[in-house]
Amino acid sequence: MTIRRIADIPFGRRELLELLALSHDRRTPDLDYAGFGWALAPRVVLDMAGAPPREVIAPIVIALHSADEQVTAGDVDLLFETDEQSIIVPLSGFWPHALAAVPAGPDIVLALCNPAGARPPGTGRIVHYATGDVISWLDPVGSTAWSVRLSAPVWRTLGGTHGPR
Amino acid sequence: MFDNASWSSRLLGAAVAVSLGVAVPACGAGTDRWVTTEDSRVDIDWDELATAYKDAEGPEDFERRVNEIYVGEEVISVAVQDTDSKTQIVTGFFDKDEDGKVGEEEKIFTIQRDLMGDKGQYQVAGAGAYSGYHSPMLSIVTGMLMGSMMMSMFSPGYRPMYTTPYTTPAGSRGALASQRNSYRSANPDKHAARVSKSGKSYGGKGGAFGGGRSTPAPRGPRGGSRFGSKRAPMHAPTRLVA
Repeated sequence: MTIRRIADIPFGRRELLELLALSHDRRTPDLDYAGFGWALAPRVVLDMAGAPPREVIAPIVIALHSADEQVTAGDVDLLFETDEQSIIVPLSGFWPHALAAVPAGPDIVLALCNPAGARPPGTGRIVHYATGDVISWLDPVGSTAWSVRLSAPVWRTLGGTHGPR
Repeated sequence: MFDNASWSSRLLGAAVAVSLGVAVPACGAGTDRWVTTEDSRVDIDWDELATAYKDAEGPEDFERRVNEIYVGEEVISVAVQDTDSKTQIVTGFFDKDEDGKVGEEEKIFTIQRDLMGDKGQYQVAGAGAYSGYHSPMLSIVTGMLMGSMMMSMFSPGYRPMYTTPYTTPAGSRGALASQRNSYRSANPDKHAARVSKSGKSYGGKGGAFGGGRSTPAPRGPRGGSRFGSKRAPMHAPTRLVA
């Protein structure tokens, strides 16, 4: 099916590890991965250089990919790849559809490379977003457990009662 | 956090989903500007890298060891700098512009070694496509088996040797590649084993998913993905605004 409207982009819920390309053993990121969607996470660690890791409990993770060529000032041009199409959509245009697709309430962690540090549109929800490249990692905890980590040069928090942090 | 008991079903679900899914490459070969970094998708054996640093007799020996470990086709250059009397920073990088200098976007890894009294420690950190990886802090004590590059810091009257940084000369990259080819020819089994451990994809997709979780957890973190494309779209892009 040819996608002609933002609302037709198949943005659905996925398993967290699958969504973040953490489903198989590898030591370095899979740069071929183009999956997108959202997932419920029990816990996510936001990791940035020069600051203590920040833990977000029970967030919704929204995973999107920025396009290589960024032409929309003050925004992030998203790239959605399907079998038949490569679709570019500004984050500001896609964001209402993303929010409509996810449950209300929990913090949102946006896994999205954000080269210019554009802020997602304000919605009153708490949104953790990055400036720069976001890379997903799965860290071993003890001998049996794992912890999801998203690394970025800078993580920022928008919205909620805290305001931007 | 996740435990192993729930892993198998998650993994199976992921494998099925991926094999049926619509994901196509977003970061792969396809444009000239990306070709030079294609091999950064090759896994690096961080444990071997840390060992190579510990065992190296000097920067030239370390760069030789690093390139033998690396299974990609690019040559890794290294820069070694003693930032003060206690700290040494080693950087591995793809010298893509062949200027013999470390470019921020060329970095692959850094190793920081610190001397604290009669003990030392060092840690490997990934950079660029490998950013986010951090080895455990590895301790160094006198009496350990180590190369002279590291051992020298325990010598009486030690003075840092690389306050003026050593960097792989651009002109040496050809010799390093040649030496590595000889090494691979002389050690085909070792090289093949390293290639098979690497997660590099040569075009096939989906089938790589399904690595079992019945094996013990690896010591280091597992890499996931970067959420931004560094290549041209697969198809002529359609821009949607509504």
